[in-house]
Amino acid sequence: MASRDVVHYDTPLQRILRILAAVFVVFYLIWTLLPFVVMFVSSFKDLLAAFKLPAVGDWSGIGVFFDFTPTLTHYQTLFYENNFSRYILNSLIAAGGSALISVIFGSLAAYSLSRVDFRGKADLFFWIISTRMAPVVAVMVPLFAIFRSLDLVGTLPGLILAYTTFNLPFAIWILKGFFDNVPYGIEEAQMVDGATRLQAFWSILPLVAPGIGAFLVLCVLFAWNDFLFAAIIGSGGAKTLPVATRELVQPQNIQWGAIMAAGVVTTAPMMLLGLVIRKYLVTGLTMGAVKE
Amino acid sequence: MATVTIKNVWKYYGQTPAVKDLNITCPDGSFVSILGPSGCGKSSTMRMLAGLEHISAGDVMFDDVRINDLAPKDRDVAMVFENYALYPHKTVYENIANPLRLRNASDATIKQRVSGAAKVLEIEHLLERRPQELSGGQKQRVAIGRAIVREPKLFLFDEPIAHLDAKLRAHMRGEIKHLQKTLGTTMIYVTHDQLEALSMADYIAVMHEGELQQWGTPSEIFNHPVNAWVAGFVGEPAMNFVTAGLVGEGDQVILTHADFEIPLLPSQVGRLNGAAKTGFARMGVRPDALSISMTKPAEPSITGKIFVNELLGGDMLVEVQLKDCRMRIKTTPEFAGKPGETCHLTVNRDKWHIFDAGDGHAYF
Amino acid sequence: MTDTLNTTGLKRDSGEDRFRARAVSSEVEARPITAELAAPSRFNPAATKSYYFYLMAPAIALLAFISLYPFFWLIIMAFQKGDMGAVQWVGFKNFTDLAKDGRFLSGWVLLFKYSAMCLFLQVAIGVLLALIVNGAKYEKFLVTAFLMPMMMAPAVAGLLWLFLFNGTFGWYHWIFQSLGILGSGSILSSAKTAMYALVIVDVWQWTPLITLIALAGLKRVPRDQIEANMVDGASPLRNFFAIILPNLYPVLLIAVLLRFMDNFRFIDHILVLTGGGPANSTKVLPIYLFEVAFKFFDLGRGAAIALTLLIVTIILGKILVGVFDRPTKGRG
Repeated sequence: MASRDVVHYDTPLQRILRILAAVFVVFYLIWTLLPFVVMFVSSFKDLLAAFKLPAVGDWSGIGVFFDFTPTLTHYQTLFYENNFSRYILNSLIAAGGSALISVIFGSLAAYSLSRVDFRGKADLFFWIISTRMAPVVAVMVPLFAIFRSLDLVGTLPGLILAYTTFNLPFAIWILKGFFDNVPYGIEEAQMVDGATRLQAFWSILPLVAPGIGAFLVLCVLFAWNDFLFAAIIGSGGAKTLPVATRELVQPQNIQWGAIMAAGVVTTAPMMLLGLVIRKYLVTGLTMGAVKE
Repeated sequence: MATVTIKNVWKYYGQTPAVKDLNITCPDGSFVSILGPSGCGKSSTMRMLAGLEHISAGDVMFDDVRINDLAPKDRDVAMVFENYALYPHKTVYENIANPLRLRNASDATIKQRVSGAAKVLEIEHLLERRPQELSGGQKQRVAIGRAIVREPKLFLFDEPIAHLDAKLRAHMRGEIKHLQKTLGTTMIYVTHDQLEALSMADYIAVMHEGELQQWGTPSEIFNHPVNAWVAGFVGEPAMNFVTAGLVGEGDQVILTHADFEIPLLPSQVGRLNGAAKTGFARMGVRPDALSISMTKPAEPSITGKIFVNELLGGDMLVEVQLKDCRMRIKTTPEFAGKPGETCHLTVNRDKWHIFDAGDGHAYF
Repeated sequence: MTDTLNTTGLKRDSGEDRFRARAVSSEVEARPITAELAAPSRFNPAATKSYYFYLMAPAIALLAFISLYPFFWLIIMAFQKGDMGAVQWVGFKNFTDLAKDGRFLSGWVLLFKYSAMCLFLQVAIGVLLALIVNGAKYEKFLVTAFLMPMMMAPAVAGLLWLFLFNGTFGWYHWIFQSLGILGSGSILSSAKTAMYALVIVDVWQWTPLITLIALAGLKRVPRDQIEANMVDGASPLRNFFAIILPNLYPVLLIAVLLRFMDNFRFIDHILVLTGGGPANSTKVLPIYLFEVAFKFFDLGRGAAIALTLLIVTIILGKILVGVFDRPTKGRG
């Protein structure tokens, strides 16, 4: 409801504060975006140029950053020598696959939890959400051992299953909130008209669709950006982009140019996704605690 | 206690004007009501007086001081909000004490003032409760208490009783009016309910679409509306409007319609300007300025068919169908006419109005 | 007067119409909403709960496999030693070893130190930003720009900052040097400063989350109350402490708890930037766990460490869920 801001009557002090605040924001903006700019621009610089720095303290020499001839060699290295198109595919499959499984199973469970009441429901719910909060490292130890005995290590299905560890409880938790917002009365009206429970459920899905869509995207985001699971459980056959990028750091030679390019390739799609689901980001990242 | 002068005040939200060239003077100690439907600019006006909105153009003066650039806390006004705006984490006592605490009053003064306000509003037993535990009526009294605990220059009440049930509203009307008279502080009271305005105010400013339509005492507004809109807005049941022709016949001017021909009173003829004498006009007459009978009377009357009767306890409201519109008449419960029957209406010509057919301004 | 009940024009034969909620017509005999149709609950035992349990079952089964089974595995493994192939039962030895293990204990200390520094900075900067940006002219653009760091994979962020902190060619190193904060050695190379580098990266990436949360909280502060306080006589500063802060507090609490738990979970950038060094100065507990389990393959000990981490996480989780429910309770 606070769409229009409360009016201000500026004292001179407040005017000064306002200016300081603006300066602060500008500095913060630069500090936040600078790494991106460096990454993006450096990916097109050949190595010699990428390492060029002005002399210490020489602030006017900052222009040296832009003094280069753009080259696509790093991107070419990625795709021709380092097989990155394969890794993009892996990332997509792993992220997309786990997102899909999580949302399908998750929405069914979320719907049920939203409609049914039983003793121990709160505990079940807490258990579900605790799987999402558990430290990845801790969960990975047993998961690795178990998957190894099932020959799932290094396979994409294994990785998809591993990602479901945190995507499924997340889906259940968030989607339950969405189902809670759909009044049961609508399904009752359907059933009075002659629908079965399942048909009634089917009919309310369009009402939850935007939420489901947003969280599909968030699931993809979390899985795509993951490093630990992919490194341990996906190692070998199911290499994803973050892992492949890390591997460009070799003991003898760190291929910075390729790393920057890989960074761009890994990050750019997610930045676009972020724009798309901006509305649901807060709800998603706080697991529904804060609704925007 | 102050005289409030609003001079040529405009309020823009972006490009849209919400208040257009408003000019009002509220005498010191008076109860002024700003009356109008939603969107007419009354809330914007009040918020500008409080300092919660900037004044786009014009001046607002408290006595002789121009207050446009003063922050709310420097204006010495007290406001009661439509949704009460109580502080949920404070007790009722602290809610009422808030303005005094903000001015660093001593605990003794606070206790005395708060108890005094609570006594007047009969909420002493609620002082230790929190707003969540109170009913709507109680919350509203707490909000009023917070306003009267100081002695501000001006009270601003923004539709305070709008969310109470009908009976409580009726009760609070009297309470608030009495309170204002006792305290003697200038009060500006915003409402969309014309009954509230008529019953409580010394003066009413009627607004519509950002413009002041009429300023006057309740009696003036009710009996001498300055245009058709004001006439139709004020009064319940609403005034009847019939579009009729004006035909001049020698010295007389006759209002002609398919269902009636009624001449104007001689004193009224003079009030029409020449051009209107042979054109169309809107006739306005309140339901209680009409009488109904089943037999044709001697003087000129309106003929129509009864559409429906509504018994309102001590009165009966009869709706009569004319050729192109319906009219409502207030009569006694004993009236025996039934729907479908023909009836005749007599107009009390001391109490009728003629409005311009174009812009609605009143001739009389 | 025509039959008004039929104005919606029922066509019982058309399949599409069956599922549109519509007024009950005199043609179709209404099924009363019996216990059968109502949602099953503690108060309605007659309803068909089993239907809903069947719907839930696949998800719960999958979760149980992925989380319950590993949990029990951890408990069992914590009392054993060795790798998958050769395990032997050693009772509580793993736990007693941990109690004496300096790395284990310093792992906790470092973890809390790290979290505290990150949280303090993130909340201070995040809330300040939210206050400034709220209602400002370019709010939408600014918020969109701010949330970009969160979209980056933490591992990639680590690599990027590895480049930026590099003592020879790193731009942020150059900035620090030019400002006189650092000498010629990279911030990552010294055991005294490496932790700060990690804090910088975490703050860079996750402060926007606090800002977003604080913004959401600020927008929900009831405007009425601020205005009433203004009329009562409060200055903007008074308003902040009396009205805004109490309303913001629960939301911030959630944010802090969440980020605290996140610090337990995300070690991607630490792995990439320092790996726990130099000289173990950044070996927070999850990193130590990673080392024990996947470098030395001492799965038994790793399981014991993992269990301690999990227990603390669950305690924090219970607190978080407790706070979840609070903001929704009665706000006058």
